[in-house]
Amino acid sequence: MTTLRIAWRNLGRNRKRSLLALGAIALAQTTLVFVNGLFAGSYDQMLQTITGPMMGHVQVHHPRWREERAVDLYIDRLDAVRAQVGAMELPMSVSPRLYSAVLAASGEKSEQPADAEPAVIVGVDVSAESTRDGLLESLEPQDRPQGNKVALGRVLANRLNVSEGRELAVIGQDVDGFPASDLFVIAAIIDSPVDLVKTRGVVMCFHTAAGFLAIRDQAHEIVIRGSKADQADELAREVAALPALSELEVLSWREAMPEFSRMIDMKDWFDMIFLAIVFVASASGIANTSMMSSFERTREFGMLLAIGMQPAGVVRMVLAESVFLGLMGVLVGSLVGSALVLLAAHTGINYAALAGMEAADIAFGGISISYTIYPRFEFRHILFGFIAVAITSALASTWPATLAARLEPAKAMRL
Amino acid sequence: MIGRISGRYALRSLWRHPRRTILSMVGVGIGVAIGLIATSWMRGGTEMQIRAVSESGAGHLRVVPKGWTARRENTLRLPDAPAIDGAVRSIPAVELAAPRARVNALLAFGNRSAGVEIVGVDPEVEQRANRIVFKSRLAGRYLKPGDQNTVVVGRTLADRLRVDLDDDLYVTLSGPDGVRSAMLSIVGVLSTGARDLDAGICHVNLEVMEKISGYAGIGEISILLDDYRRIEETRRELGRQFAGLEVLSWKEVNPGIAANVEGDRGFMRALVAIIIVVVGLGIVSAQLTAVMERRREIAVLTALGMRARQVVGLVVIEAVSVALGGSVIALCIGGGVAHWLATRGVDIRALMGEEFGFGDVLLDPYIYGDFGSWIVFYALAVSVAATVAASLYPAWIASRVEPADALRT
Amino acid sequence: MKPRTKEALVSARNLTKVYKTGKVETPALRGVDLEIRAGEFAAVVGPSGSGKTTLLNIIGALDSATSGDLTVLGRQVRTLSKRARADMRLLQLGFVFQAYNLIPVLTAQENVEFVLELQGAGDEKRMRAREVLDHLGLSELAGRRPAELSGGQQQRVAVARAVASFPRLVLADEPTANLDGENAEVLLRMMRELNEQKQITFIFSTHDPRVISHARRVVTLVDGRIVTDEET
Repeated sequence: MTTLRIAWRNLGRNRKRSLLALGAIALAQTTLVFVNGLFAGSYDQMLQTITGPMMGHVQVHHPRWREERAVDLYIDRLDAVRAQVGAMELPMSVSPRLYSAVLAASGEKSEQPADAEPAVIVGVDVSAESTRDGLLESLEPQDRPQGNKVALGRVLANRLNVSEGRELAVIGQDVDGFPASDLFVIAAIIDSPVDLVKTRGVVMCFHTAAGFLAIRDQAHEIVIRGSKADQADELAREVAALPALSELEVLSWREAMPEFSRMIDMKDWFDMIFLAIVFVASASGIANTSMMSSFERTREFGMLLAIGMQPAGVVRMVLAESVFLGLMGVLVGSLVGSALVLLAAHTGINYAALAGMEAADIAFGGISISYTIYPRFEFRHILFGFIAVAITSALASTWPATLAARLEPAKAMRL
Repeated sequence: MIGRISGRYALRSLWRHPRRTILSMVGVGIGVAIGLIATSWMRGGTEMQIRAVSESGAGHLRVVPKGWTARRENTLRLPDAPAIDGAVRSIPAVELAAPRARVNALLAFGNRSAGVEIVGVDPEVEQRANRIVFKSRLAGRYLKPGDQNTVVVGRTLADRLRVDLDDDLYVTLSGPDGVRSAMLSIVGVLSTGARDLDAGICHVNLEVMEKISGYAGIGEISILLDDYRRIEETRRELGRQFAGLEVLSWKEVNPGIAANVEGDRGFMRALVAIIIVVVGLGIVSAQLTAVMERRREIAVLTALGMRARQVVGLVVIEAVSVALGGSVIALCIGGGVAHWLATRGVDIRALMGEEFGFGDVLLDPYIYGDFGSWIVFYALAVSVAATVAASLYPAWIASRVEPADALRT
Repeated sequence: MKPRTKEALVSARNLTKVYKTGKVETPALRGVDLEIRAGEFAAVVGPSGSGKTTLLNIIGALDSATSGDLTVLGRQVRTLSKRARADMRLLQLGFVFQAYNLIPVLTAQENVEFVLELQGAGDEKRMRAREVLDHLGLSELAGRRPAELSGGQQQRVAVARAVASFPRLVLADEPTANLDGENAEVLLRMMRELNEQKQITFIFSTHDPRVISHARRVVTLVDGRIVTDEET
């Protein structure tokens, strides 16, 4: 249709003006794509931590353990439970854990009295947690907890002023409430995204923890990892149906971590804001350009109407120009934004350095917040941008288009 | 240089194309309004967070012994605490000074135990200075001066230990000379509503703290000022007076919230900057068209002797006029919304859910936007800056119009 | 003198036109009677403000008369809707204006094709456009945009576009006003040939003596009234 061809070529008539409008839209779209990529990336990291080392896909507990965290609220007959879960013939790892609040101090004899810090014993199945998504993933095989060798969370190690090879004294209570204490050797310092482990964790092998707590055949938590994180809800239901687990609480990670859904909601909210900015940018840029260009071409429109073009044809032409301009802007913005995302996904963005801060150790929802984000590309933002811009471009130029269509050819040409 | 006639010419030129002028003003107005609203929100949020952090125990400033920052060792004690305390209170900007002493301990009851940081406080000051005390529901009573062996704990902590009022807790800790233990009687249970916070509350009197821990004296004095904007100057003052000590702001005491505040600020600023740039591009476009349309007029004026500088001045006057109009619009829209934010506030419970504790800080579930005379300055300054910047290129183009070329056809 | 047996393409009776701008009323035509027959090459002349452009616009259904009757190509113009008028201008009339005839972003050939496309022509429009340009000796200019053409060339392409589908009547408003002597002559000769060979009726509104010298009928308007109407 020649009308479209005219519309397309008209964009080149006033290069500077077209470029300015295009630039504004491209900038808004680049921001949309990039910032949302950042959010998606940080969300991914959190998700990875949650479904990985922190709580896996499905968790099993004594019904009151999550509230009260008491040593005596354990999962009883652990072996039977493990057997039944294992018999399900699904690809999964089953990792029992023990937790207990203790005081930890450097075991070295020194001039100064040892300062004790509150800590938590985390007893784990070392082989299950040494896999790809496990708690001990970052440790070399020779550094893994074994016997009286433990891994200490970095922040706790700093506070206690200890390093690998040193001794660690731990004071606590066993399951019956009797005082328990022991001396361990620090095999490794562990940097975990799980805040509990990083700030207070004394990670030891399950057997050692069971010994300290005078526990047999029991655990506080069973972490189950299946093949796909988004199938966790079904997996949880299937596991919960097993007879040995009838008295126990079985939750998928989503159920156990409602804060995360809240975070997703917040992210969606931000998505909306940026989309709105793209709307506004394209609307204002296009309205401006379209209006001015229409006024400039009043005589030309008059001529077109005079030789017999229908007013609807003129409207189509003006709308088409605006939509083309808008779409070009979105295209450029999408390409630049995507390029930035892909580049940053490679190198990572150190958010703290950008904001001029020191990376502090803070946690949200139990996850230690990492200051390096790897953005993820999400195609839907490009799609939303295109749709938003197409609509607003058309709307923003409707008024000038209708004005043009209502021209009296004779009057218009006389101007 | 810019005479009255030039001014009149510039203004009337604007009104020859009322639609374009209005559109530009509206564009500027909306962009700046968004910036206004974002800034108001951000300042309100910052103010809320700083207040929350300072009232949750960090204080606006905190005087700690030398060496504290390096290792965050909470058993270090201040030398000559009463003198420091007196000196601090004598500074007029200081509203409250809360002395504290801390130690890590293991609490136990029956076969339940929990690790916690016990905080020794001056009950009268603490009740006024710490929102974890004054904003909570209290079962039983708070600490009183002269109490012996009493303790106030948080609700979640009490639940985990399965204790209630009048129960006796067994305390184990590491003192200056080795492991110590003591019994404390629960006289009060505090409930902030935030689970993580309630799991960490454990207050005793300073005298009791000294007795059970074996560490004498005070470990910190947390200071609440009457105006958070006086933090830096008060800090310098204190630094001068107490050269042998460390004076920290809440940012160093609680880097988590500091990071949050800075992060939000940076984010908002970037957002507003982008919006302003987008609007600015529209202004460049409008100005450029205005200039191109009037090439003949400008050519005539230049031929008659107008200098390039003056041509630029004309364009800039027009830009400033658009800015003024735009800032009026911005004030109406942005000021209106900011006022609404400042009076009604926004309930962020929907965002935060049930938990409004962040780390060890009890946040307010409401954010009130900031509203003040700064709004006028902001609207004017940003409008003018943006439009003048945007008009530089068109002004340059205008100044380069060659009379002969422009007058030819 | 030719016998008056040819049909009347344009029949105007007591046409008046009054322009109202705000409170001011300006009469442009004060009762014009005119008949134009098929095959004529007529010029409507008069000083500025005489109403000649107004008369042409009304005949071309670009504007409407305040009162009076007008029949163009057998249709009562007053009864036509806006859409019907546009259709008439498109399909049955041709226009050449003083300036701004062509769409700046299209080439000469595309400009001609465009009108054919508006008229509903399909793939043959390219061929027909080419034919018209060739016929008028404009083939070299086919691929050039208006900005690459001289004033005279632009006007000739405008004529090509106006006659692309061989309308019966072409209205030309001051077509030579911006042209020098030689270009004006070339343009007029082109239009004369079309008039004689293709039986296209031309009505000009002009005050250019060169046009008048080519016209076979001259209608003089003064102050909105016809004062003379001569065949030459």
